[in-house]
Amino acid sequence: MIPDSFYYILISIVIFSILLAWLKSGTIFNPVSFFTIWWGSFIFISSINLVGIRTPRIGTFWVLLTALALYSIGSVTFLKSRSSGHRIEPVFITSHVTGEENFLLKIFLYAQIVTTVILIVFLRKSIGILSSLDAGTYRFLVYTDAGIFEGHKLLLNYYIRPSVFTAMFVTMAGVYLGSIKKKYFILAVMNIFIYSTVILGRSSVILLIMCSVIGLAYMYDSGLIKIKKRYVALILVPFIFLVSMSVFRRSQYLANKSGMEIVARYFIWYLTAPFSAFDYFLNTYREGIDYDFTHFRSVLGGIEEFLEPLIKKFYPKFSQINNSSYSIIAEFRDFGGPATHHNSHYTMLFTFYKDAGVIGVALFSYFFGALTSSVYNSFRNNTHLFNLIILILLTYLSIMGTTRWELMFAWPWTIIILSFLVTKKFIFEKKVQI
Amino acid sequence: MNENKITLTDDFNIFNLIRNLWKDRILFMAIIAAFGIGSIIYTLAVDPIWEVISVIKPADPSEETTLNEASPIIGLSLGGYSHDPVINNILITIKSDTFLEQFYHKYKSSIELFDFKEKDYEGMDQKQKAEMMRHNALEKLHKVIDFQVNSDHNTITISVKLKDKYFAYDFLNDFLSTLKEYIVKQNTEEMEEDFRFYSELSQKSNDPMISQMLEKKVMEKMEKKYKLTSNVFRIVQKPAVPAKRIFPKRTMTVVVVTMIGTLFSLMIISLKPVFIKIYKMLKDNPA
Repeated sequence: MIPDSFYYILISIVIFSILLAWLKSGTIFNPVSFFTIWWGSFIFISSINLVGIRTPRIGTFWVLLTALALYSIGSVTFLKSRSSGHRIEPVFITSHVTGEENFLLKIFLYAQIVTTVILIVFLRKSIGILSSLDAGTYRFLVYTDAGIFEGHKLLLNYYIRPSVFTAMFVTMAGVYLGSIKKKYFILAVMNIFIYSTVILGRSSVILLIMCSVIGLAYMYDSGLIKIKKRYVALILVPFIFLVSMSVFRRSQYLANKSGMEIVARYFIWYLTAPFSAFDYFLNTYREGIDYDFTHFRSVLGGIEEFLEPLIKKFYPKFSQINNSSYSIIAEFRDFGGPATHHNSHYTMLFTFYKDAGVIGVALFSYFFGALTSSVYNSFRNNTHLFNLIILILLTYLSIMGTTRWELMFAWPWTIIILSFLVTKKFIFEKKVQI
Repeated sequence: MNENKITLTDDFNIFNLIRNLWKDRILFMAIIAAFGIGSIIYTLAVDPIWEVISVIKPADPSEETTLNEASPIIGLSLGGYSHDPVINNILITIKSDTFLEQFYHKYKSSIELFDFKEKDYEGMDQKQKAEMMRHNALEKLHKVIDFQVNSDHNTITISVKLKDKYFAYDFLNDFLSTLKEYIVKQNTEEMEEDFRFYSELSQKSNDPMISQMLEKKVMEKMEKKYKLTSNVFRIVQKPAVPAKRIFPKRTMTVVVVTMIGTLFSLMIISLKPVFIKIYKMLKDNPA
């Protein structure tokens, strides 16, 4: 049973966080507002049991509130107002790269085209498989040895995925800042759609929608762009794609539901069932018996995942830290309502907790908030491609932390590294001479 | 170009923060001390809670239908329902007010469980008072009795959290035996009803083939129900008197709260210039 005091504390944390962040940054469009409104809303929805998913215990809700409060405290502490001497001039941004389609920029474009060709090959293969296999089983097998990427795991992990996501981030930020032509972004979006169709997964399209909206909000707040009706229309395209895929993959449970209803239920499930899963973890697994604290390794698990093939060449017995988490989160579990096949998503707090218990939840939330704010300050005071990409990525990761800690996987790290190389070293900002 | 150059101090203003901390060290320490001392007082003043746990394994797990094997491996998917009738039956019973009401009648006078205060029911007639007491008692029972299904092993962990550990131990033992009796009784009644139904059908039938089929059905029902009646669940972990309280965890609470106090204090120090600015603004423009 959830006591009334919980709701008072939740509302107080959300209101005070937004207020203090607004006082400090001078704007409502800051990472603290995004984080607290998102997390606060879904913690609330989770507590009222909207679609029949098991409600977490009050102890779990206190841990969630601790994370919410600590992220806000960390973020507010390091937030800064925009200094008056560093006003961003749109002309300044648009002038430095547009028209400078150098050799490396062309390579960037050709690399995207190569990715498109590879993806089309896999798309044709997937259509063939889907004619003899139902969507659920196809999705079940997609990353296994019997799946579509059979024998091409290295290509998937070290080329396709990094290339698809990095191109999306770089071109999106470039279009927002007026430094990259829109055709590059359209190509990147097309690759996202094809990739999403090949894996029959919605997460990459959700990533595209969320990051576009986050980027738009930051750019609007900086006064660099104005919101136009066609932007809303553009957001609808991936949304329609998402609805179509959900209908295609619909199950017995939702057989009689409309597309919008499926998405609405899916949305609530996707973002509240992880709280129930985290509650399950807290109440079922005991530290020292079922698992041991991993001391900062899980939080940075993506680096190990990325380096694993290389490390295994020298230390064949090496086991990346994520394997210890998979034994807990890979199991399919029934959390009631539509969440009868839940796995993998246990909120980012699962990773924090697995590293260092409640202290880990508090400290990692705090430092994550502080880091996001610092990048936000950097973006507001000296806007360039790289800090916009990182800001969008970190805001996305903090918001979608309601599902899981993505930095335990390799893909965000590859985006960070590749974006750094692409934007800072080789292509877009190399020739900037002001 | 120079005016666009941002120093590390500006980007990640930790150095400014340390400087401000030193300037406002008294405020900084006072906030930490308030959190630390507050948490110590709280953990000493609050009533301790003890938890008695038992793990039960429902009978006949082979009857359970596990999750659909063809479910997606990564992320989430809207799959079909799962059926775990024995576990569900136990869970429904534990949650039901009808079942819990037995404990209300049994432990009505036990202050260790229901601490009814007369003043809470002042001005109510007998009927209203009885209704309100029942409502409060059930609310308390739902709060005190907790359960968790371990879907990996098909077990249910039942726990009782109370201020008196010996009473909690006795209560959980009683709870388990009552639960078993209650489900057995329900199953027996259901079995008898089924038996009556099929026997009547069999008697009415003139066709020996149909009679034979119905009798077979009765036998199947009897066999299945007998299994469930004779063995509702097995106690895997018996209740035991706990040696350590579960609340408050004094050391952990004080450490975590003091740490939060330190971080909160840092935030307040960083906000101080903003508050001063607002204060000055309000002072200059009182309207």
